[in-house]
Amino acid sequence: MNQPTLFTSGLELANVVVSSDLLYHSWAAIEKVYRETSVNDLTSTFSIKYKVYEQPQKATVIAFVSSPTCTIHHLQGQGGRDLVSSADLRENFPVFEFVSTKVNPTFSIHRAAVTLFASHKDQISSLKDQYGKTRPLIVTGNSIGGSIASLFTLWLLESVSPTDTKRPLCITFGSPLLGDKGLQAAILERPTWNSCFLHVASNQDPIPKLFASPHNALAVESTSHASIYKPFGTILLCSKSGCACFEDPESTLDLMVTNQVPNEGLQISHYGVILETLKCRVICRGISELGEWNNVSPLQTGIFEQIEATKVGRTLQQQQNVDINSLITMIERRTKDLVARKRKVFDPNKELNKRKISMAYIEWFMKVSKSRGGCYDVFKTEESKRREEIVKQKSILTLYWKKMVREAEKMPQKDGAFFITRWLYGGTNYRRMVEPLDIAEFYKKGKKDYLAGRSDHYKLLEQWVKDKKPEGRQSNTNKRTRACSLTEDSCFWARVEEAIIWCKSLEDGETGPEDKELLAKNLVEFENYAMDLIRNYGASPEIFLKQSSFMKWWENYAIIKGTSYHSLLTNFMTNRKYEGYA
Amino acid sequence: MFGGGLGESIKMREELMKEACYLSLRAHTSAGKPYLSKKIRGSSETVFSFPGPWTVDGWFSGKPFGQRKIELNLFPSLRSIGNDEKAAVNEAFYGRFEAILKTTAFANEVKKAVTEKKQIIFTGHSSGGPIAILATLWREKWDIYFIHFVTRYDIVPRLMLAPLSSIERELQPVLHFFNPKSQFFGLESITTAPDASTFFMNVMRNVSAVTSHAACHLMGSTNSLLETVTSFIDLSPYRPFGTFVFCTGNGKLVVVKNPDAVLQLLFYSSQLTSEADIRDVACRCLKEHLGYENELQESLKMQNVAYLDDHLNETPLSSSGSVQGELATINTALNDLGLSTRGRLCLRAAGELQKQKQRNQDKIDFNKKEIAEKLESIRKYKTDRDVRKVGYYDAFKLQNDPEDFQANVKRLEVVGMWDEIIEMLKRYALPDEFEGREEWIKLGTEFRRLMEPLDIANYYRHQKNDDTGPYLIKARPKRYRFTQRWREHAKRIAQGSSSESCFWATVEELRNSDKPFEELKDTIMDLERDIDRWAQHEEIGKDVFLDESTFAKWWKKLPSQHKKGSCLGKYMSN
Repeated sequence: MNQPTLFTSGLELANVVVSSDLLYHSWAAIEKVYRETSVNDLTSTFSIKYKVYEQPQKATVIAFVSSPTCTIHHLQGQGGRDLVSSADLRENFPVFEFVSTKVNPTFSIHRAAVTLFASHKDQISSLKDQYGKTRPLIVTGNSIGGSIASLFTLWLLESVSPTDTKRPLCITFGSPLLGDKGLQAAILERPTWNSCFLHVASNQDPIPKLFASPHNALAVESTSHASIYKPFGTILLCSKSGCACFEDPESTLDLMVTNQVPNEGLQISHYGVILETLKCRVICRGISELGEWNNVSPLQTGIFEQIEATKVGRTLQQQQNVDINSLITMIERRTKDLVARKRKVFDPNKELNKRKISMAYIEWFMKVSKSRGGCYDVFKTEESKRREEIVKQKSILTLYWKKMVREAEKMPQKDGAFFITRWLYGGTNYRRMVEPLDIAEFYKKGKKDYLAGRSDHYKLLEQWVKDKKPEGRQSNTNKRTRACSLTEDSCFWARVEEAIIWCKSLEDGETGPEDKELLAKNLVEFENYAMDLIRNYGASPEIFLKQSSFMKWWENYAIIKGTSYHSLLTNFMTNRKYEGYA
Repeated sequence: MFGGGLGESIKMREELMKEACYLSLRAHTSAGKPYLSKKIRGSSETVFSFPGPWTVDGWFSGKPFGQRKIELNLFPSLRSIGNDEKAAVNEAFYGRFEAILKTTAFANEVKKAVTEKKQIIFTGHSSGGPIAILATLWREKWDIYFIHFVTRYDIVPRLMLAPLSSIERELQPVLHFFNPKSQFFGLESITTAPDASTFFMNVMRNVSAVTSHAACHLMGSTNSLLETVTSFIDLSPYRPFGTFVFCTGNGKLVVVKNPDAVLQLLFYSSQLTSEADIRDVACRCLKEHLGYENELQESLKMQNVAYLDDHLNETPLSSSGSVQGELATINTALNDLGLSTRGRLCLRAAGELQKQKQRNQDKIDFNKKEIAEKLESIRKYKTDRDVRKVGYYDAFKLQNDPEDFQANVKRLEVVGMWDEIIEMLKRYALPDEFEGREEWIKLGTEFRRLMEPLDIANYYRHQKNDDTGPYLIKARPKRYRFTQRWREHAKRIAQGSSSESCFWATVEELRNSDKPFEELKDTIMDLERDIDRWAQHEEIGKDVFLDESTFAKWWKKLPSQHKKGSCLGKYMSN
């Protein structure tokens, strides 16, 4: 009920873009490249040309253009709309590997665009070396030149940190769709990537909608689903009467296809003309007659206005094929879905406080368990109300961290790493506090070999700490000088339990001599492991509490080994050095 | 407020409005005077009016939009309280005001008027307006209304939304046109020249960029392209405030206070109907700037006033919409301002945002009782510990008893509720007045004094200073920084003077320091003086001085020579 009223800001966004000089600078750069190309060249089949324009106090612009002949050559005829898969690319042109993510491992790109890109790889590569870090940087291109601009920008994004607010901006004019659902999804997964692409598409330009559907169908509902190509970034639809962006990419495709005023003999200067018109448009009221759309929600009104601005509405009414009402209703539904999806995005901060409370409970449990053998053994043996509470808090924490790890894993490597760094401290604390309790539950049930079935989220949390270390601990000077309050190895108790089991087998008369030898070897290894941990102050003093499983193991082990056996651990234990361990 | 007279509803005598308008224009022509002052005969009012500068660098200093951060010693309140962001103002106008303040009798004259119990009005037309605004801000009288009259097409109220670079060539001739002492004053040919159209067009394009950008936020845009694009463009930092009275040009007046709505209106009300209108409108955008006196006379005579603020979220979306009652008045007014459906959508969004902020505040107000109850239980914990002669700070740090654990859980609960509030403040999702509300400043202070010692105890209990560094530098949560600033702002006391809730952190750092006493002496003396003051005002509890407290134990180890002379000796048992 308390849902905030929805609006759509597509017109406002379009207005910001058009009112700024970004489009004009970009287009001016493209025109310059054309102008510097001789007429002969234009009509011949040069493929891609590019130029870099550096202007003081303004963004550096890199402009890619293709000759009209080249565009036709690449886009039309047999195979013009072919895609090349990421698997193919991996073998033949492994530049875009980094685009794959765990959730979106495969994608496909327009074959002609990749081919052109690959054939200029050396030049483009040195362009990247030279200007990849320049900011502000606009990468722009016309027609299939725009596809090259998009691929180039994508390539630059590989080395842009997700927290970096200075990103390159790619502006394409009349460029064909570039890839499939996989590419769209992989880019959408990184919101910062998706924010770097602006595609300007005129309603008279047939190129942007060339791959939007298999046929030039008018029936709205069926078109978009049939197309293999999907858009990413933001598309600015424009006509001579105005321009708009739509929040939802599907709707943009639908409108692009439906809005048919294709002009096959389009001049190269077309976008320049349109931009000039729009310059003045933004300060004009325009004609908008709401008609029957009066008295509806702001969202519907907004969508109506957006459609009006791109002239689709009037075209539709002329053709009388499509019902504008159902078009608006459909866009409205999609916009609502989109907003709902964006609102649902996992926000780790939201539950942070609940998690802290749960940790406080477990911490307190550790404290009060000290007098009775430490929290590991109390949790393993005791049945109490307090224990029930801890089980409850533990499950809250486990749920939270499993979700957290899943989210981090889903993210592309770099963003994931960033995510992890921020939360790793908490994750480590959680692992060291809660995993021992899981282990206690496990062995309480009489099971064996916890480590074989250890939960993945613990493994990953531990792995990430290890991966981070070389960077995080450059100066290895901050070695511990006193014992830590939580044992560093969160699987410590599982190893103790296994050691207890080995001792039992060792005492068991039915165990064969070969097995016994192996068990004895295992136990010495455990001994060394425990001693290492102790020496580095990596074990909590808790393990030496009377009644603790570790002490019970030790008593038993000492008897098995007899008094003649000497090792670092026996020295430490029999001389009660642990009493001074803290 | 339906249909009420303008003077009555914005609480200003209409005679005074006319007088102020007259004087603001007179200021331009009175030779060489930096300001005029006039006592209104037969009343208790004194009007100060300011002339404006007429050169480009009198309007724009160096930067694209000519702004600068405010000097807090002249304008201590001009910052967002919690977020502590300083306000920015136009540098050229600021410099002008500063000069008036420093080199003329202005300050004395104002002081005199105040002691004579005069009501003071600062007024200015055109670039004299900003000086009047700065004068009002300088007086720190926030309850005095800012009232801005703006005609539908006057370019000046919109001018600062464009960077100088976009109008550099055309601006000086325009300023000559506005300057009563210039030979080009009011010259018809300037308004009809092609340059006027270019000028109008360029200003408006920039106004469009700012207002659309703001509208995206009002509408809750989720498109991240906006963020990237924003990093490429220079948007004007100027924003409106106060009450705006728009003159529609046909004698009607439209009153708006919501600053988001005002910004949108500044753009949409002077949009062109069609491209063909540009010459006509460009001419009006200059002429109207000189027409305030007549406009005001007319409008006050007609008293046809529409008040938008209470109905922004019901703004009719279509000019032809069939609405009744007040909404009909509003609809007509919006038609008079020439507002398109898009403009109306923006007003709606501004209204909805305001409503959403109000709803957020309601939700937080609803939590107040629960916060108070939880604080009460912590207070009880504190009293109980005092009885046992271990202050709650130390008891909490030791965590020996179940009560300490219960207090820890309570702490996390209360802290979570406050973090929610701070999160909203950081997003500016609460009404602007929130940080000045007495009940919240009071609760925030109680919360801070009671809870922050526990947060500090927790920090040093876990030795987080070993990995993270000192609490005060690295880890002090925003919930305490904000609430401290609320109090300091409300009491008009220096920043940092109300840090009584976090002195424990200083104590912990001093206690852990291995530096010799002589090196720490200054810090220790400062701390002692503060503690003495806070103890006298009962801003910190007696538990601090209990024998077993971390503080007392540390203090007693200080050199006896120092202790003898210390102002804290009187609190300590021997």
